[in-house]
Amino acid sequence: MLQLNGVEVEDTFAEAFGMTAARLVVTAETPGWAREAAVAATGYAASVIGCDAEAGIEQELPASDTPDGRPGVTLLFFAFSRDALQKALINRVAQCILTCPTTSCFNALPIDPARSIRIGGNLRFFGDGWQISKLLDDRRFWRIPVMDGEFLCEDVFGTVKAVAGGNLLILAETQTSGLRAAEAAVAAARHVPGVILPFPGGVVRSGSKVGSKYKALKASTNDAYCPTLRGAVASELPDGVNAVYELVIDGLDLAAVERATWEAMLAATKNPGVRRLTAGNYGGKLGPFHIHLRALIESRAEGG
Amino acid sequence: MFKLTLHTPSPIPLDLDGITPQRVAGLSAIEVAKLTVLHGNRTEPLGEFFHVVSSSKLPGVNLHFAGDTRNVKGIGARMTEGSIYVENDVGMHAGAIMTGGRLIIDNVAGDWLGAEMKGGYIEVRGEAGNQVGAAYRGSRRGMTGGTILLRGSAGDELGLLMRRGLIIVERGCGEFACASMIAGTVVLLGGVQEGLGAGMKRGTIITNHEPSLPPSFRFACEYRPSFLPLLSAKVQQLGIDVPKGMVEPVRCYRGDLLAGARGEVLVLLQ
Repeated sequence: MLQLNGVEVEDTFAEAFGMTAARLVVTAETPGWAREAAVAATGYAASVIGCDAEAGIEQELPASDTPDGRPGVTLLFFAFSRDALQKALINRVAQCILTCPTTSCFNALPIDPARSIRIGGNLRFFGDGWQISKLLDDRRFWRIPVMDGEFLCEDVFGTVKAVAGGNLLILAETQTSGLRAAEAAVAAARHVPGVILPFPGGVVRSGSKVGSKYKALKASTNDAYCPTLRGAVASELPDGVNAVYELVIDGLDLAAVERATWEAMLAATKNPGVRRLTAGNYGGKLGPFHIHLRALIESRAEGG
Repeated sequence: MFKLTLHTPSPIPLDLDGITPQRVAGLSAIEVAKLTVLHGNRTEPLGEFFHVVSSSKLPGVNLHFAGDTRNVKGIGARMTEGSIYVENDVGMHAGAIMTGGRLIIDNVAGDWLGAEMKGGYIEVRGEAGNQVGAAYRGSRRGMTGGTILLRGSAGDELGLLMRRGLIIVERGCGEFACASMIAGTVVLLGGVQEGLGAGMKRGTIITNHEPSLPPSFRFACEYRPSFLPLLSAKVQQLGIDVPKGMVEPVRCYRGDLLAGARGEVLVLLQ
């Protein structure tokens, strides 16, 4: 068992998976409307177990940092494949960004033609023949006439091979102390660029395990970490732990997920009532990315 | 890099179509002087008219033209890469059908500047003649890509039948600018004359003077086009003072109704 700020840290690893990701910049007349579009577009996107994508708000941008000089937000979306990502994004941009007052939507990743997806180019048909294409420096944009003027959306968006499912479990004395620690951990992780925490508020209260006694279910409650089942199942909970919260971290690359995990660990262990940190994995047999908690502690302790 | 100084001007036009950076790459000055050009209906060596010397006075410029080149046609025509700088006036067809590279003309350009160009960048620091970026007679495609920047004014039929690309004119243009335009973006600062956008099918004309449009255009609305800030940034990159009106609401006119009304004329209000 390791230690961080006086809190036990299990010498284990989080097992993460490769997914395909896209990054969008959504701008609007005000930060408020950009946020409205962002919240809507990244809603119902907690897990690809039951949603078409995992998504979240990466960061808010001041007007000076956006392509059109208006306030904006960056959004990250993750899916199992480019096709799935494109399909999810077409639906989300169409229903949640196109519909939102004053918004525009831009790509925020380098374009590799072999790995790009077409968003504006698929939405343009909403213009019913009145859409206008504008090509500026090899970037094509579609201007779609709408009732408040026009919706501007970039034709093609880049994608990258990304990392999803980084995780951290916070084992706490009480629900309250666990939740406070989780909130702090989420806030710290969200400062890391290139990362989202797709679950509500960034926290999972219902971590899952693979499989179920019910053949139709792919996943079921993580009974080893359910405090009410201690004594009835093979529990992983040490004495004194009465609540567990999980953070799930998706990032554009492994380094971002590692850094976010570390920031979350640091923040969580500074909260009273946290007894232990651990992470979830499948024995290393499923996911190609292993984020070892020991390595995070040791490399950061050395100033790495 | 070569400096070509016209030592024997001629009243008969000299056509330099084909004397491009890609053509002279790897050649010596003597070999460049032996390249042939059209002098009227005759083929003559370039050296009959130009002194050709290697020069590194202008870094990054592959061909530097000096002397009285006002009657020299086709400078930069069909160029695909590299950079050409012309000290004085040039004749017709400068930069015509070019697909890449940079052509800088420090004075006045003749007619058909950048006609049917597909890519690259042309800058004229003085005025330009007629049919800038236009389609040749009988052709259905004018300029299809690239950027033309005119620091002075332009003549008639600028952007005729244009099919994409960007033209910016700082000091006004003549009649029938963007006539029958199929696509593209033209920014006309400093005034426009009759026939603007006549017959245009699609494309965008931006002007900071209220134009006298054909009767087949209709006022649509005042609004703030979402793409204008992106275009403003591009204009600013080119070293032009962005008119304040490019970031404010504009007056939008749709036309030409005779050609489907998918074109737009945006009038900057400030």
